[in-house]
Amino acid sequence: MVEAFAVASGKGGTGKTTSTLALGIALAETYDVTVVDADTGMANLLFHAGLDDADVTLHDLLLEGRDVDVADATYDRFGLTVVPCGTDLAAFRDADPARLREVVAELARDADVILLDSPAALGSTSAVLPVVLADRVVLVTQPTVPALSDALKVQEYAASYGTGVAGVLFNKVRDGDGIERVVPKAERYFDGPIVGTVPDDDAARAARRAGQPLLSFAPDSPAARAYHAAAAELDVRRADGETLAERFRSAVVPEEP
Amino acid sequence: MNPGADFGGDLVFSRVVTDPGEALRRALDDSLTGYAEFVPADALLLGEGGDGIVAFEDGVPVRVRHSAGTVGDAAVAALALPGPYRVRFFAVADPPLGPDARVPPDGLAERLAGDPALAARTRERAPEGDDGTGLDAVEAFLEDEARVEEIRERAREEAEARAAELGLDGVLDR
Repeated sequence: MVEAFAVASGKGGTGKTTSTLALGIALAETYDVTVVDADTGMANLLFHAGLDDADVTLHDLLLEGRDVDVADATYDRFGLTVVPCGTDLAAFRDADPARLREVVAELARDADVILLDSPAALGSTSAVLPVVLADRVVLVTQPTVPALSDALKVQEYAASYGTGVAGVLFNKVRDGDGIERVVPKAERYFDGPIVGTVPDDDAARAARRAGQPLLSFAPDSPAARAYHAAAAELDVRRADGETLAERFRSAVVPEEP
Repeated sequence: MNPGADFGGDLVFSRVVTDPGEALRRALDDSLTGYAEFVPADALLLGEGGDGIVAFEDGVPVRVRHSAGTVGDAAVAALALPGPYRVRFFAVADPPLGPDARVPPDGLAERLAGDPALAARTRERAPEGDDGTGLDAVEAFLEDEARVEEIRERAREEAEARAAELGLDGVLDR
């Protein structure tokens, strides 16, 4: 079984990468999980996962003519398979985003769940591709007007491309946010359930500075516990790995504009 | 290239910074009100990629416009490039740009500078509520069905237009 989720927000600063790794680690207690940094223009998963010095990354897999196996860019960390992306701008410019399809198809053979940490924008091929390719999106938002607007935008983009919503996660929720009043009003607008609310937590910032995922750095922190609860609310759907690989291979992939 | 010329004001500082956080910190520490031009290296040296205008109120970045025509968060994303940037800050009492260019107070510190501590300090300084982050603003937004529907409708149109632009038409009926 395998299901590919794009973890997306439509805006920066919502803690999308922290959320991707946290959900991944929590889901890895039940499933074989692969996390891919598909934010190829502004990669930062490697810093969160202590992989700053990774020799081979997704960029190498997306470059034409580079003789690199997908396995060379995968790293076993924190009970997950992690595919980091490099931060070199020249590599980003030369990378062919369409090759992401092949990479994910290959990864689907050995995974139950694939999480694609997606760009915080919708303006280019590389930015929309994870949302196009995924089965469903997990929307990471905050209880603010700009963040909710952007999450709704991503939901509509996803729907237009045939990608559903697996769940909505409120992150960086502060005491004064009145989240218990926001959630009931917000949920009617989303096509998937609100799977959790994660408190704004210094532990998340400390984990980032330490180059470790939150769930490894501070597993008992309030935010870590909230991510566990949210992961438990995500219903992972069964699909055949070969079917998904085949679907990825046959997916329509946008031309470079 | 002089994107700020239209808005006037007195030049407060002009610097080339590798870390855009330097300019954001200076604006915050000095509680500057006005606007800053952020000109990325590519725009400065090659005339490519465009630049941005950021309106500040009391040291907090509140509105952003990119020369490519995007506003708000999209403009911040367009500006988020590896440095250096040339930043010129002009003091004006009534900073430019309309409400559609509004950004969360910590947007630039997070996205451009990647500096969570600066983001936290900027959030603390930001007046509660007037940036769409207060509970009243969020509740009012969620109760305004017409406004939410308008955002969704516009996003659907954009997604379809973009699909055509990117050659993605084939997935629309998937």
